[in-house]
Amino acid sequence: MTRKPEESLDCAAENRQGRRSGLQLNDLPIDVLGLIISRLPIGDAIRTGLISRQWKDLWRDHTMLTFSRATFPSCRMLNQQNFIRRVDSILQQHSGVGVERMEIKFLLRNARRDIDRWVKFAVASKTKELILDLSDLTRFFMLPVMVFHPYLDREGFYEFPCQLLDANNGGSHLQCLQLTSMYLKPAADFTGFLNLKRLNLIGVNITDEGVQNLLCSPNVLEFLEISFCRMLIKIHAPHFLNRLKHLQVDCCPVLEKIEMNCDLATLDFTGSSMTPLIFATTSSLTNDSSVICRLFECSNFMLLNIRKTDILDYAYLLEIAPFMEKLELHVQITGFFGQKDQVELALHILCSSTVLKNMVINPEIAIVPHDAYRPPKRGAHNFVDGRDAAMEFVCKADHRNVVEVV
Amino acid sequence: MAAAAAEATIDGGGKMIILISADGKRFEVTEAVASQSQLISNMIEDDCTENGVRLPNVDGDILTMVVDYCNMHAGDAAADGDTTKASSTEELKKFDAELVQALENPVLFKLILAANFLNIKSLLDMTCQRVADMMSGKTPEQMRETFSIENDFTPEEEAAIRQENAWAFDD
Repeated sequence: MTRKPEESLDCAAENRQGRRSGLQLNDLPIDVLGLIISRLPIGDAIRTGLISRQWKDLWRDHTMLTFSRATFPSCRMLNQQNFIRRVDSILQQHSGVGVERMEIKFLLRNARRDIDRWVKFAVASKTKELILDLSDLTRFFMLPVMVFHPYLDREGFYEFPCQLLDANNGGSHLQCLQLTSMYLKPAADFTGFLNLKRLNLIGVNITDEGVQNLLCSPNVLEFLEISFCRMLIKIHAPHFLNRLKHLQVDCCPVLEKIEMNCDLATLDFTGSSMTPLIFATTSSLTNDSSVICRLFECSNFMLLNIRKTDILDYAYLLEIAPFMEKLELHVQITGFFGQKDQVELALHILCSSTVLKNMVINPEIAIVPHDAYRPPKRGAHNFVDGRDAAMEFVCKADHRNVVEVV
Repeated sequence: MAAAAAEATIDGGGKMIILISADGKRFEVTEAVASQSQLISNMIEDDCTENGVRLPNVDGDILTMVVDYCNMHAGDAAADGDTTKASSTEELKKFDAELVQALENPVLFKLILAANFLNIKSLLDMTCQRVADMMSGKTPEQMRETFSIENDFTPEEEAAIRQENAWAFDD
């Protein structure tokens, strides 16, 4: 019964198709052109302003602003001053509305006023995702720098302006915030995270009290990462964090305890196995919830910081999640030189963990750069070859075929 | 096409709805497949898909591509079964790449218009990315050439724009 109108449409459609066969980029609606431009790095986007008059101002609504060394490839000597000048110039030309994501990654010191200005821009433009990385380190080098140069580069560290996000300052639309290499000192009455779902603190200098203030402030956090934070002794959240599902804690060297009130779906913890992880599960945790714990042990880290660890107890892993249905335990030991305590450690993990799925033993040092920490020389006094030791002592005790020596 | 629709019935289940292109071609798809389009999803919610959904802005050849895309991606939203997912993600990537790679510009732009009209975010993202890739790293002159756009600036205007962001125009 719908046949007839279709047939009468045929002819019109053919005409339309004929007319449209030469559809050009310029014929697309302005908002679609905006989507295309926002997918370009800002330099390319600015160049589209010279295509034609129609394109002249389109880039000023760019929604994904990324500023890093790679943003300005034509400048060979890009120092802090040049970088700041260029970012400022672009932000001044930008329309200042509708920014989805703003990322700044550059080694910046003593630049408080400038960075504050950019954070103000992000708040005013209702940016949803802000990434502020003031180190020039990749994640890979964070640990060795933290361990071997703990006081490197403290001078002129930026302090993130928490008050700019506060609700009584108009509040922020931030849903994701990632901060790297700066101070963060939220006050007890902090209210800047009303809309925040995801928070990553990497190499951030924050105190136990600061973390508690953050987590006690009203929030809708679903994902929390705290990594390479060297001041943190205890992560404590007494209030029930009802939305928090994912927690990642990596390599916080002096961390002694994690105590939180939340129903986690995933926990990703890297660090000392002596750290008690206490998760009070108040109410809603049901039999459907599954907790996946991944515990990576890095023996370099342990050698340097908790060398005297002789017994590992994984029992607490089972205590933290009374309804846990799935536990995966992956252990990776790198820098295995066959020292007595390393062999004992490996054997202990192997024998005590019935849930262990995979243990990788690697005689190479994986995390610390080679010139930073020299492994004992092969054949030196007290040491035997790591691979031989692993084969001889650990593999023989492995009855479930989980050990892999690489 | 018929094969793809039949397959969708089996694994998608649910009610079928009919999409009708501008040139009267009819496509039968499950609600799950069709509701990747926010426009159609809203229509399903409002219960007005009963007599088929007319899409006067979308030609049959373009709608064929859109329906193929939606059939391929129907599993995305309700992703289960971790083991099969990895390989199917690979497959999807390959399918997506092949879908946009071979298109002539006017067809690509039509597909963008359809994705925009039907409000299928992932398809719109992917097609816009394809155009962005064609612009990236190019000078304004090369961009004009790629997309047959005429330069309507006066030399003075052009010089002023170049000066404002000189770094972006340095080669």
